[in-house]
Amino acid sequence: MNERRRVFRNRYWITALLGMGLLVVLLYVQSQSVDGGLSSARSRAERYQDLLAETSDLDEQTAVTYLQEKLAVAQTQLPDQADTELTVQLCQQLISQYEHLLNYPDELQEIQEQALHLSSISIFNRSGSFSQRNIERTARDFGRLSGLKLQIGPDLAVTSLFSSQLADYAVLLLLLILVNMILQERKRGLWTLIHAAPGGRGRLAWQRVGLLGAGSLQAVLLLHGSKAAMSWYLYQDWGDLGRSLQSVETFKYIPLRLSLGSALVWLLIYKCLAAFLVALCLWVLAAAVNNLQLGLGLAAIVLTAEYAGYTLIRDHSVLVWLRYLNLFAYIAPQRLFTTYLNIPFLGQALPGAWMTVGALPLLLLAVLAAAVLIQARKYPIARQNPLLRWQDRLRARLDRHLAWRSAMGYELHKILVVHQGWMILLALLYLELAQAGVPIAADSSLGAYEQAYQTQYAGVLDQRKLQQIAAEIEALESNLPASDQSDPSLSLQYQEQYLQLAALQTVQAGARSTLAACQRQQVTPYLFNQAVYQALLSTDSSSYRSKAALRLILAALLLLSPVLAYENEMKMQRLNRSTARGRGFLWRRKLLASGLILLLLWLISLGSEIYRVTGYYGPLPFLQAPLQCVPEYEAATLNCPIGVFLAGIWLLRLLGLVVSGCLLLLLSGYTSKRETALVANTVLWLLPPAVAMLLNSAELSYVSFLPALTVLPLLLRYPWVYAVLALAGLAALALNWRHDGRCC
Amino acid sequence: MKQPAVDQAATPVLEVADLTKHYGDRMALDHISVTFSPGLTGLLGPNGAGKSTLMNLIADNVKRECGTITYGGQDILTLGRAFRQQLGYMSQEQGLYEQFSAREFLQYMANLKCLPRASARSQIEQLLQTFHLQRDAHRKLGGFSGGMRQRVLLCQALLGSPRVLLLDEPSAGLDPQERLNLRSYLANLARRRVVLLSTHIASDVESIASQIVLINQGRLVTEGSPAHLMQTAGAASLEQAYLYLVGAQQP
Ligand SMILES: Nc1ncnc2c1ncn2[C@@H]1O[C@H](COP(=O)(O)OP(=O)(O)OP(=O)(O)O)[C@@H](O)[C@H]1O
Ligand SMILES: [Mg+2]
Repeated sequence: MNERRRVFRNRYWITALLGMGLLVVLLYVQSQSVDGGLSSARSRAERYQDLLAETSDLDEQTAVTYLQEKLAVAQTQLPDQADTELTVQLCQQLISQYEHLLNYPDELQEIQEQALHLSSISIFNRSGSFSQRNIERTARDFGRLSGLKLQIGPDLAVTSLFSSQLADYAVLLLLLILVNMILQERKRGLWTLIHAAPGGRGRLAWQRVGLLGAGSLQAVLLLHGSKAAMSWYLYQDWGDLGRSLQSVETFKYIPLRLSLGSALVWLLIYKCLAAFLVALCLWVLAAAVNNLQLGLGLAAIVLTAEYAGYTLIRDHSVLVWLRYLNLFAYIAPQRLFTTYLNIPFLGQALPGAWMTVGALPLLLLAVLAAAVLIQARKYPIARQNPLLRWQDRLRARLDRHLAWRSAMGYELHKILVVHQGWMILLALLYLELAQAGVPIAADSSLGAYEQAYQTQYAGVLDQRKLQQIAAEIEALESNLPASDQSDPSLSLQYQEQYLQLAALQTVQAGARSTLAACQRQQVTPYLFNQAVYQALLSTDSSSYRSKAALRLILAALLLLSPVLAYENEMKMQRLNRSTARGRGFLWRRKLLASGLILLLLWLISLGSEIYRVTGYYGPLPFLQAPLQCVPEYEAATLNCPIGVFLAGIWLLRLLGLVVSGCLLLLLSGYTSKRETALVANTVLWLLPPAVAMLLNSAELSYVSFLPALTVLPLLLRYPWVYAVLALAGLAALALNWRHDGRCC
Repeated sequence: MKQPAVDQAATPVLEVADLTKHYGDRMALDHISVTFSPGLTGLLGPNGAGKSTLMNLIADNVKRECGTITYGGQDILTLGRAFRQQLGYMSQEQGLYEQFSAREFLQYMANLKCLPRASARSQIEQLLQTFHLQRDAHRKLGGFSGGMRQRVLLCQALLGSPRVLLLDEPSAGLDPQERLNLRSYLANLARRRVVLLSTHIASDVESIASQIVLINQGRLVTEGSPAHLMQTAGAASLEQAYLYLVGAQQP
């Protein structure tokens, strides 16, 4: 009974593990870099270490002064210089690190003083009251830290690991997958068989527990380990791991004398045990019910309730202990050790985090016992669950009415319901609306004044308008006060007006060159606020667009990979083909349904972009203006309004999406299982662009659909690629049709 | 033995001539020629004889190499959809959508068979009743037992009362009661239809078949009524005749 091999060598598990690991590392690198690439993350880390090395020999106060000077210099420089932004960011980070070292002893002192002070006030010093105990406890806990020696170090290398909880939630997802996989055998009807085997009960139960433990260990070590390894690679040096934990500001609320290194090790151990506990809980929940779907549903409900408790309960609520004895305190324990909060417990004030940590072994034992008991005692065929019976009756009633669909309806039903595509659509919608940003031109040379002047003079651009601008420039110049270095207020005013003048001159120069470009093309010139079109049409913001493209590819891949593979997996080809409409008609309907889904994806992406962009920039101005009015396109020979050009870009994106859909379907038709199709398509179409994004390599991204869906640089450089793509799509369709016709 | 009466005039005959099929260098069918007239034809033969291959050729699920298959005098490939409109097919492998409920699945097939909704609805309920599936009709097929799946697939083949029925081992996995039920249902049905039923169990078709076609290793061994076969072999039952004719037993 090779359970372990069955689970851990399962393609699904391995794919999920590696995929999740890749995603976590990818997003970690993105969070650590300016443009999302690995090399820029690396150079950022190097800059950080350099800055640290420059200051580490100074005493703290001098270091702060030194950094503040550096910061001031950086801030006066032009913002479009590539690394100014970076310098500002890193200086601020280091300043706050040094300031923490300077202030922490005072903070500790303050806690003690406050305790003394408050206990002298009558309403607080009623002995036995919670507030009294709370104050005492806090003072006692942090009293342990007095005289602690703090030391500067590359904190960012460590704190960056805690800036996102994605890895924690990814572990949870993996645990859900694991539990689901272990339960699969029930679905396959193997349970009865195993149950009947000698030693099938008790031993199996322990084996299960072992599996859950090994699985959670794998998940935690892989996800957190790979993230830590990436941090190590980026920062090269984590500094002195023997320095005290509180040297890092993130951990200043932990009242324990620990070195940073040992604290990290303890944290890892905690995460492993906590993941094991969560896995056991999920398993017990799912196994307690005889029905797989119902069990997972129950687990989902419990998780939601726990999550609500974890996030919604406030500090002063009497229910606050529910936050600390909570599954999510074990899943994503960040909040536990970045805050310090005492809660009433048996008449004492107990730090909430102690409660969580202290309860861990007890809970582990309890859940372990429950898991083993359930597995050993539970019979495969028990009395029917009342919930299930109710569901059964409801389904019987609904079935008669809901099951009628058109051929198209059935195909959509397969994609959206059977393969659970609705979840993917929802996830995409969420990503698009909540997580995707707004395009901002990378050079962002347009200052606020320029934009204001452009808006002021918006409209058809003619000589009269140019004259108006020239007149205002003259007026500004004559009003310019003499710059008086001795009077600071006057000097400020001078700077202000000088900036206005410079901005207007920039606008004037831009307007002149637009006018010239439009005259060359014999189109009507317009002047308007350029910010939004710079963002939308500039080739610089292609990283924003390629992220949107990646989301589209991911969604299309998840939705379309199973379409044809499903027929093969269910061995339905012969039956379908023997019916009147089972050949050309059915194939066309499948294609149409897939096309509809792609259209929907495209509309979601388009709609949310319009929503985000107009929400940020306001309605798009002068869509009828010719393309040449956008500086980057002055030399363009194409005569078309901006609006049409934008629409064209979006239509080309649709073309790219449809072609990629055709190829996804082609591969899907050749595979005999949905999972295989998914894995194959992922390897072929998703891995290259993901790695390309990670390495920030343009060459690699050309091995994918990313440039075609990103449209802009590709369209300007090699427009013929779209003709090739259209042909490739048709070829894929023809191949698919032939394969479908050959069949069996 | 009583033979069911067959109304031969109403339904055209299905004719197979000189049919040959190779899988690689393995010959699955070797120049088979038979005429299937209305009534139930029992297709007998040992494992690997080529029964399923013959049915798949008639359903045009595998590519034909040489030979002709005609229905009412016209080749079925020329008839194409018009022929498939008349066809009910049940394959040997139990392929069905596990995530559909039984009723949903039948409705899906009715849709593909181009049946009008109203008549499909009543037919489906009737078939579900005949094969004792009504109580489970709303449940997902993934949770069905082997015999239950088999019955769902039977219902699917019978939908739209096709005039040509190809049933590849329909009785596999059925309990004795259901087997009897199927037998009497088919005996009734076969009066005006061409029904091809493949099986290893001679007793399944002994009493209801008007014609037996016996193939072995891709070759036609003999054809004729059950009585004729028993007479040729000098056997007391069809099963013995079968065993004798495929060379597994002396008379
Ligand atoms: N897809 C295939 N690929 C290769 N050979 C095949 C294939 N299908 C059938 N065969 C071969 O063709 C021959 C006839 O197979 P067929 O399935 O028609 O037999 P059968 O009479 O239906 O047998 P059974 O009673 O076991 O169902 C066998 O020798 C088999 O090995
Ligand atoms: Mg067969």
